Amino acid sequence: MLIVFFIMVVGVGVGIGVRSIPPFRHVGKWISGVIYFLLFLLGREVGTNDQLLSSLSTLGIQALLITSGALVGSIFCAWGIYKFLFQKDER
Amino acid sequence: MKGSLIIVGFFVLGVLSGIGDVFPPDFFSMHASQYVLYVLMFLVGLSIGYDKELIHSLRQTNWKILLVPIGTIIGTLLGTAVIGVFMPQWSITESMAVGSGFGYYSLSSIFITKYKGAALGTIALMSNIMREIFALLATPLLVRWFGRLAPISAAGATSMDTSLPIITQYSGRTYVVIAISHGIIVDLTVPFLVTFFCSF
Repeated sequence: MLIVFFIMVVGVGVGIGVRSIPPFRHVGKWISGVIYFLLFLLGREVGTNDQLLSSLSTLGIQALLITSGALVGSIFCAWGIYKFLFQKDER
Repeated sequence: MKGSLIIVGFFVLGVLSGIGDVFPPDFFSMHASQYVLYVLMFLVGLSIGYDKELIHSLRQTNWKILLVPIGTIIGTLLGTAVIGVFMPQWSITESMAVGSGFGYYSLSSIFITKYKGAALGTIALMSNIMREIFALLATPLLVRWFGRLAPISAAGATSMDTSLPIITQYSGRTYVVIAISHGIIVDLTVPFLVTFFCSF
């Protein structure tokens, strides 16, 4: 975990250093490209793991139920906090 | 919408290539993907440093940021408790223990397998992978429908690493600090809350 932060801090430093170089405007597109690649790898990991694939039926439904509860609850809280505390500060 | 579809497309493509053994098993190991994640974090850092206005807005952070992880934790625990009421196989606290993984599937599933057995451990693994996948896939829609904090809360502990790039893209770079501090705080609570809810 520490190494990830270190790498990001190095990235911030490099980013400050290259502000005058226009091609770095497109860094958002590079990020999208890497995200797509990582998602492909994540999918491949699921696809090659027979245990993950076969147990997705029974335990998977229970997992899906718990996940939906967790997501609905946390998204609802986030929506409330955003609406009442963050939104009015924007622009 | 287009963003989410492209993301789903790449994920499905990956699953299909895995099932069909399109690539040799050692084509791209998880060890190698770790380095891709490092490249990603470097690029995210680069985009933060490159943005002049961002560093200015970071100086204006305040106590409100702390409310975001608190909201995520309370919302998740309430939501999983409600689901637990309706699940005959598992108790309310067992459901909450799974929810307490907050997307941190490697750690929480190990804990839960140890305390509650492999079945609930497997559920924890899948549930928290689902949470991460959902945050990655639905972020564009979550921002549109529920505001810029929704993907951060949905991502749980992963808002500071795997989900951070996509949150940066859709919530905006001004929310990077919130996403990172949220991830750190939620991440720290995982071992405590998981073991706490397993103790019942």
